[in-house]
Amino acid sequence: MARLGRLQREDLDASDGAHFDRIVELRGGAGGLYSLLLHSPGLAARMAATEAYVRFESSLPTALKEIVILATAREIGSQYEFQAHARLARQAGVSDEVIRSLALGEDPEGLSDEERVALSYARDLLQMRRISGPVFEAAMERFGSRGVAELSVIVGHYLMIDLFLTSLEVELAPGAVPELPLTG
Amino acid sequence: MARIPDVSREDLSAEEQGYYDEIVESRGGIRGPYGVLLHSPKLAACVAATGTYVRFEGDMDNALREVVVLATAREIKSQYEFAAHARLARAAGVSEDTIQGIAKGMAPSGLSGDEALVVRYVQELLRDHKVSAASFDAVKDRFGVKGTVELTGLIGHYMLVGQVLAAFAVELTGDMVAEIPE
Repeated sequence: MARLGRLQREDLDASDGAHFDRIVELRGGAGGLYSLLLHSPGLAARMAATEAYVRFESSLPTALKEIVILATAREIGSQYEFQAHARLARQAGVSDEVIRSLALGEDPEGLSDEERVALSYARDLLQMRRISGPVFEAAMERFGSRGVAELSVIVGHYLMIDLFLTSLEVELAPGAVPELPLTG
Repeated sequence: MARIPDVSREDLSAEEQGYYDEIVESRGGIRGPYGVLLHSPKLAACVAATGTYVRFEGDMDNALREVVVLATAREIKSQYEFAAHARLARAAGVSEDTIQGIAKGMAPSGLSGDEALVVRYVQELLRDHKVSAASFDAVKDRFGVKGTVELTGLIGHYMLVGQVLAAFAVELTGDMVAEIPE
């Protein structure tokens, strides 16, 4: 359930249908949140382009990106985002122990050096709205200026996604088990 | 200045220069977040394309959009974003009282109509991480379903840009003034 109805290809006129097709081409489907974002097909298509770049063209490894996204979802308390990306993280080889530890906001054991730096980078940004000097230096050394720009956009993009999930009250599928600890 | 230098056009390959030129064309230059974001040129162009959409397309009045951006910048304490958009807000005719009310955290008190409506929506979303039924319905009645999604996209885009500004510690330029009280 959500606050708006979900749209499919046949709900759209010809020019909006082209945006739909573009979204499917970019990210392999237009379900989930995108079926709601399609109330503004032009905006949905632009967001899909950013997502597709982050997921498929970025210089950063997939498991590392998913760890950053899970850390973002945890910081803002987004069950839906955490759930969706826990699945992608598992597919990318991130262990259940690491995912559980990220859900609790702990420092997971068994991360690579690069993953640890990326996690610190994301947490600094989300918790302090700045990156501490040593973490920024460590990230620049490992990922270069391109990778650091991409890390920042990944955090920002999934904060943006979270705003839609929150505003539109997108909930977990019936029967899905929340992975973040329940609060309040 | 920021933590790392801005990308200059001659540092880029021919294909990447295309992305650079696209951003210049849509914004008249490379400033603020885009100078650093262009270290990943294609991603910079993707982010800029969303920005162009939420700023210039859709039906919302330009002055009201700037009110939304200011309220967003205030919530995430982005001095750069606030200062850059205070200038655009003034140019679009937003009153000094509204700008100061948002900067000082007094708004939506003192605001009325659409300004109060969108500032309340921004604050519920970013502060409370929950939008009340009353606010959601009021926004949907006023701006429609498409407008509600686009309003949320406008806030989200400036959340994203705010992360880039914060990560790279992009500083105010000489002609900008910090307007959010520290």
